[in-house]
Amino acid sequence: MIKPLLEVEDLSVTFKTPHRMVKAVRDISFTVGKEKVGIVGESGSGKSATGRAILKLTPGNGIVSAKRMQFEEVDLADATEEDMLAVRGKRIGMILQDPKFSLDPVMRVGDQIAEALPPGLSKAEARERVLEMLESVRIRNPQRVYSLYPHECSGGMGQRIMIAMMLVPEPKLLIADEPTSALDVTVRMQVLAILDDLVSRRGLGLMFISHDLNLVATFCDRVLIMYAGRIVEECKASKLRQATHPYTQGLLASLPRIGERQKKLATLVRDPAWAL
Amino acid sequence: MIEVENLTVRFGKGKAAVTAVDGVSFKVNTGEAFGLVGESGCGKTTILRALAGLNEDWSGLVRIDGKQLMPHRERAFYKLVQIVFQDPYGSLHPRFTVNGTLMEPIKIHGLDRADERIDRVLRQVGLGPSFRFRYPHQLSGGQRQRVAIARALILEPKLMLLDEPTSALDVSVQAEILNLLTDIRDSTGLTFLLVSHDLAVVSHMCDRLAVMNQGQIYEELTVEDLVQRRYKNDYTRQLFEASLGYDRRLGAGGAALEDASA
Amino acid sequence: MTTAVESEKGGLAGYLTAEVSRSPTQASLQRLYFGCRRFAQNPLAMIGFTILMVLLLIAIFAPWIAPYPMNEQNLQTRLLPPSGDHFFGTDELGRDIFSRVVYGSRITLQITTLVAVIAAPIGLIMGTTSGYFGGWTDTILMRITDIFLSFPPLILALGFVAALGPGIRNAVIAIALTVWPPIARLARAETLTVRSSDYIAAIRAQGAPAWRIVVKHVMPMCLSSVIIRITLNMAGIILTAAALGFLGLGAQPPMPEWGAMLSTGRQYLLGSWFLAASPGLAILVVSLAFNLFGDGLRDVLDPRDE
Repeated sequence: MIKPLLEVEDLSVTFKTPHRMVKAVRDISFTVGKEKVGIVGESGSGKSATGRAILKLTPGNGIVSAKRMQFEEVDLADATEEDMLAVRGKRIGMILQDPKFSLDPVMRVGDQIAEALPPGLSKAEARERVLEMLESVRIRNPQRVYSLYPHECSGGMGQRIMIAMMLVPEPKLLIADEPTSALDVTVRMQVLAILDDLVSRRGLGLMFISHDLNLVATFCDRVLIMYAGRIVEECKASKLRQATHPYTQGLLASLPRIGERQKKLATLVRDPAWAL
Repeated sequence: MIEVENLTVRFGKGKAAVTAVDGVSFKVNTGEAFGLVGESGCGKTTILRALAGLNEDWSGLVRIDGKQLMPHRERAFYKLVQIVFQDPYGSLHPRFTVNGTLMEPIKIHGLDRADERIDRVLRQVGLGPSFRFRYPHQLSGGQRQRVAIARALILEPKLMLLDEPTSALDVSVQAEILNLLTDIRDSTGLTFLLVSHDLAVVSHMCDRLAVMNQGQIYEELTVEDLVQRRYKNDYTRQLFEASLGYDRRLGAGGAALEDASA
Repeated sequence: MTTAVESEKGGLAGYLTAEVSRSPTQASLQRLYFGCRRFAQNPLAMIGFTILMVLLLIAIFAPWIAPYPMNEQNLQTRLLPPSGDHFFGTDELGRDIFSRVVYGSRITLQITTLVAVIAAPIGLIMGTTSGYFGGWTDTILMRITDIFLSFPPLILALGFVAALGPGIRNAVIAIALTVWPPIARLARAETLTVRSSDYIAAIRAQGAPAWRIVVKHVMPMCLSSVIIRITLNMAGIILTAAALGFLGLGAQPPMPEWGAMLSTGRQYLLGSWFLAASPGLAILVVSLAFNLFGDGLRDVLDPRDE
């Protein structure tokens, strides 16, 4: 078997609140190779906390612990903040839900992408590289988009610019946290297609965090289903319909579907045993 | 129940004016559930807010329950039409208990038997009397949306406007709320006007739907037509295919379209 | 698990911490209880609160605390330094400074309370009305506010007192006139965010008349920031009152107003420092206490940072 890009063993994330300790992620283990791995769960399942913990972007009141988080030759579990600087944004990229909050509002998007380029390039070279990046995320008119400000871009355009920016340092792994939830369905398809291409052509690993079962089932290769901080099930995305865990089954049954007209939707009856 | 003819809503004045809804016409029969589907910014919510009397800047002809509407409404109108908002975290006043929230419409319209009405409506939305004196921050998202539905029901309206009532909720909670709405419709015979971006939700709840884009209705069809893919409009096809999940072929095709509009 | 345990707890503690309230009174009391608990966790705020409570007690029981009547003159014992007989010494007319400071607390509390009671409602009403209705109402009300804001507060207060005549009552009116405009601005800004929220749209969609929305739904949302603001302004109010007293436009002699006392003390500063030091310290401590208390209140009422 080919060695995976990322191997996580016994990852836990605990948040301290004034009243008690909340375990957001509890001893989960998984691997990500050069593939699209979907992490699905409802709000509070710990899926976003997992993505952040890998890059050590957990907020101040959170404690991350892991036996091992092997990313290529680095063990992120005991990496220092300095080590992380060499990894974060360079070898592991992150795409968040809303590009509006991640882009500098007073800087042209082209210049923002250029900032991510290695130093020492001439102005013309840098511009050339940026235009190339914009083209690679299927922006038809990169010259025009280069000089736009973030507020002049639509949501889909903004998200593509974010992806372009993340790709400049040629990362090996992309963590995408609900990258398409803020986008309209038709635009969503294009952004997904871009991510899809990146994985198949550049051999990237993609961790795709989402609440949308339907989307993950059709987009990813492999799916991890999280509930109450644990991975309750792991399966091939194409086999999600045959999932065995009652939680996964319950979630799937509660989705309304076009063409399956039933009077009532099945509702999920939560078994306290799932959270154990 | 609703007749809308040539409804136009503009925001702003002069050159900066934006036409959010551009000459829209549709009809909803009494007891029917009608869906308005479209993506963000297509004007579907604007139509709902104009109907609910939250925006007085519109032109066109609107009849609800046979009466023609003026931009300014009489108090009796609000007993007829109620609205449920998208975000259950923003639509309940944070300083009011559930009881306070439900008491307001009773006081405004001078209704009697307040306790009885509140108890009944809380039971109707599946919340027991134990929820009556809780503040919104002591409730989950689904429970809040139930309170918002209770607030809309307490005036016993004939028409309920639903603005993406489940899009802020988890799928399992969405199923519960959709089931609740189905139950309410069965027991009261309410007319629903449901606005959503989610074709699956609309096709589950509604009998007929209209597909909107850029302030206009592109196509009106029955759910049966939609299921059998008997749509005529290309945009409807795109929405339909996108709602089935990811498809490589679709992602490649749509790129040109987005660049043109951006 | 915790639910079951807590609801079994009897008595007052159980009533206040019960997971489920059974009446509107219980719901409000619980709110109050949890607010107080949060406030009590902030040591600095508790210090401020304690000082203010002590000040209140001193003001109420002034005749019993003060060893001498506040205006009893004794020219034989003038300008005595602090001692066992006169804790803070005596002033230029032989009056006991400690007693005068004690009685002065009454005046200070009176001024601050009156100013708050006058300025807060004016500011709240002006701000919420202007913010909620917008348009012409907003333009007119806010231009009036701007006129008041365009003068430095002390100058404005001086102008009013000069026009109305010196004295405590006029000082209170003058200070109140300088305090309401920033509150109106604050309330307006809060109203603008509240106005566009869904819960206001919801109550409008239920046919509530505009005045009801402003009074019952908008004002409660602005109230906490107004209370915080006015508490933090208290120090400024005390200082303005003292400044007016100092300039002879506030409390008139022989009233033991702290600013006026400080003003007299200034003439004897070199020989008898205690004349100015005691009222000065009193002003400092009370202003500080109001600020600490205000900060604590903000943490409880306005938990935005969480």
